[in-house]
Amino acid sequence: MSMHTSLRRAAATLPNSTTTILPTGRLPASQSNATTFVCSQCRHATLLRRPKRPYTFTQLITLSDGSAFTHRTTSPAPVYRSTRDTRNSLLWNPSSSKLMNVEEDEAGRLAAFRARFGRSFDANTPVAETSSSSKDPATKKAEEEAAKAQAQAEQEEEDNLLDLISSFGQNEPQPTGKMAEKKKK
Amino acid sequence: MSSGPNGARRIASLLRPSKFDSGVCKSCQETLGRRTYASAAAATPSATAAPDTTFPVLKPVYTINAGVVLSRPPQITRDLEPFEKAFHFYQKRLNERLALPFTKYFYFKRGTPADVDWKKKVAERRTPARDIGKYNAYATDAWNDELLLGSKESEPEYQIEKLVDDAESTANATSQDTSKKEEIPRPFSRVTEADKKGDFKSLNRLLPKTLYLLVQSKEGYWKFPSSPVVGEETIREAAERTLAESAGVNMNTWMVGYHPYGHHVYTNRKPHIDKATGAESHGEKTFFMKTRIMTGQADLSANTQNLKDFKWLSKDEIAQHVLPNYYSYIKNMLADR
Amino acid sequence: MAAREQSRYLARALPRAFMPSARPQPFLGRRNASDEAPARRLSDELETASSLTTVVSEDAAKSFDPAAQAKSRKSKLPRSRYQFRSPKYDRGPLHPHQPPPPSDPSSRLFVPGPFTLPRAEQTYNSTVASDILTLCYVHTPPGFKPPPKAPRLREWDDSSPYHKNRPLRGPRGGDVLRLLRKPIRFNNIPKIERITIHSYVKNAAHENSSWLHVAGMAIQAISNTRVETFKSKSSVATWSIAPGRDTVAVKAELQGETMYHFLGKLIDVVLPRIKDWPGIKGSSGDSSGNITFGLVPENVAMFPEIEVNYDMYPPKMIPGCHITLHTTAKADKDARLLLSAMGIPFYGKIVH
Repeated sequence: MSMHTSLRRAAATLPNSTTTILPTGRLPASQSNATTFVCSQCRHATLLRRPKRPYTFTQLITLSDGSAFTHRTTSPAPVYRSTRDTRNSLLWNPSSSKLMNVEEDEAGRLAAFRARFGRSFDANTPVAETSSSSKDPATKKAEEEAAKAQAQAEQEEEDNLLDLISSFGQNEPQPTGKMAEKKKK
Repeated sequence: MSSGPNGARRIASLLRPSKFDSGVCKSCQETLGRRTYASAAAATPSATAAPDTTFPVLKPVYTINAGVVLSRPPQITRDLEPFEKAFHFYQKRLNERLALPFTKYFYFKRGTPADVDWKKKVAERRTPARDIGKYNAYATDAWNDELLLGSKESEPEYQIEKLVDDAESTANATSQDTSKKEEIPRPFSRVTEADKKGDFKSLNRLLPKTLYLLVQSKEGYWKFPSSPVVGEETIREAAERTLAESAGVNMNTWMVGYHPYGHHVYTNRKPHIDKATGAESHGEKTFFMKTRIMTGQADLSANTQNLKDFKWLSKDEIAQHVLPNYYSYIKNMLADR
Repeated sequence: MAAREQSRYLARALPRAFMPSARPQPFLGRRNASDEAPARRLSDELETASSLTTVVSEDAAKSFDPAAQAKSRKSKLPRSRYQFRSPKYDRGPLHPHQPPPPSDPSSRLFVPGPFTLPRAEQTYNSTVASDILTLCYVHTPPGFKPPPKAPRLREWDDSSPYHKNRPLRGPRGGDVLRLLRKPIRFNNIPKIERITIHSYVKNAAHENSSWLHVAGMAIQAISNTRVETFKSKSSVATWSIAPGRDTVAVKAELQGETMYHFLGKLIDVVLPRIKDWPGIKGSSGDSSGNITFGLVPENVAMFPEIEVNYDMYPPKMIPGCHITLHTTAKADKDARLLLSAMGIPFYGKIVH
């Protein structure tokens, strides 16, 4: 690999004093060009080193939402498909309700578990909130149903994200929460 | 001092009803007033001899409007000029010659299917790069690096197609089962459905350009949403209210900063005199606030500003919709792209 | 100065006094210098004799084959007769053989490029720059003069004869003269100037140089740039590093197209993949517009270039690195504004 040799050479050409570190590559030549005008006479000849650059390919990056762009990279893979990027990361989409619920709760099992053994740290979900206060098995059952319904509704929400976007700002009162409350009553 | 500026100052002070000019906004007047007290007192005390403590409150002769320039920034990269394509392509072929050679064995282990596939492909296209056509920078015909007329190699679409083709054939050649064909999805088209249909109301049109929301008044004029500033509200508050009253609340928008970034002056041919109050208005001055739309869509169904239609237009389309006078004011605040 | 001020007042006062209420509507509206200029397109700026605009007949284009023509020639000129080779040495300005300028493709110092128009750069130019300009606008009313500021370097009070001819005193509360932050106008909108990727490999000193080679290879792979190596400047006894003896660091400096490609890759692909990454710390920065953050080895391994041949790197030797984003902003506040507009999140207390 050419990399190794160059590293050694770079290390060898470095001056012994640590205070002045000359950058290798293109700069010394241009600097010497500039300095030749300053010093009255330069008797030595400066080697014009060819700048070394790694071989670069054009790569197509496809983000998780299907948007694609090309960039230059050293990697020989023609296409890079990313699964986790700015389009589906919570940090970049803080208002996306789809990304908020991390675990997939398809059968409503997690919700049911929370309803039964809910702790204070997930008290922000409406189901867990009620479970801590209620002891009656009948209400518990109703709550479980409510949780299931909510999980289902959430999944539906996931499916039509586009609708969610287009109706932004209108769905502040959460329909799922209302449904759960109705069932409780 | 010569007599010239003195005379001018005297005439000016005679003509001016007060030191405070209605051409300067209220907050600026306050700032200026404070400034001149301090600086003028030091420099020329005679200039401020006239008492400024009582100044008449001037009614604005122009109606002050707050306008909203709601824009959607470009969503995709722009189309390259033919010169840029040719230049980039030529530089890529030069780079073939000047960059360090590709270290194959750092990426492909000897004898693996990927290595076999790589060797076959490089023998085919004579170079590791996929997007520069058949060109070997180290061969004797390396001088022949210019494209001929009508060749497609410098087109970005061609290059992307080559990349995806290459990925597909590699996936097929190196996969274990030969029965299944690997499909790698192509990038979406740069031209959307809305472009094909000519749907001016869609936000998905003209992806490489900035789109601006224009509304049509009942009289048929196209303009940016605007309405008079009411009471003590600031331009920004007025702009937010205008946006909500004209295009609805069903949008997630971000108003950039607190200062307008463009203005439009409309002067009436004759001053309009309001019968009830007796105030006369010479026209209107509109100050435009820059706003970006994040999500949502404009909705004129509940507007209270007598608007009948809206369109999302790019800069060159706006020129065809609005009056030339209006365009001469707004054109420098609109993005070319 | 005073004369100009007064005539401005005069001009402002005159029309209101002498002109009665009715003013004719100007037909052309505003006239600007840009009105006369035609719409600027790259194609318009090309010379008319460019090959892109010339029209060639169909059959002439089809029959043109330079490779075949060259082959059919009986006698060939020797290479030296048609190919210019730049002198290998720069022998000073008085030497008769001068190397061509570095921008010339025949120069030995020529670096080809750009190869693409990076996406991040286009975003900056089309959206971010104009937004920052609008956002940072500070309104000064006409005629406003900012209050005079005290000089940054203080005078000596001449209380002692020894003050004579001394250099000026530094600012209060420290020796550091901060950069002057000017109001942001169209010509000093902050932009990203360069990116430095730096990796300090302490094992390179007390073990062997393979750590340095792997680090150099990894940094080169993620940055598309050759790395430079550096010796230690300071002594670290616990790692047995002596100044000037041990080569312990690699650095890559990215500019222009490479920089924008790296930035786009970093923001769009790498940073979101870091698990539980909160963003860049709000207090990061050197208070002159350069923001630094670090990536641990596991994060560096997430770059697509390293992922593609992860097996080739000894897993323990993949380096962590510090990434410094140098901006032309004069204050960290502006730099953070720019970077967050480009898509880099910040967390914690934002220090200005």
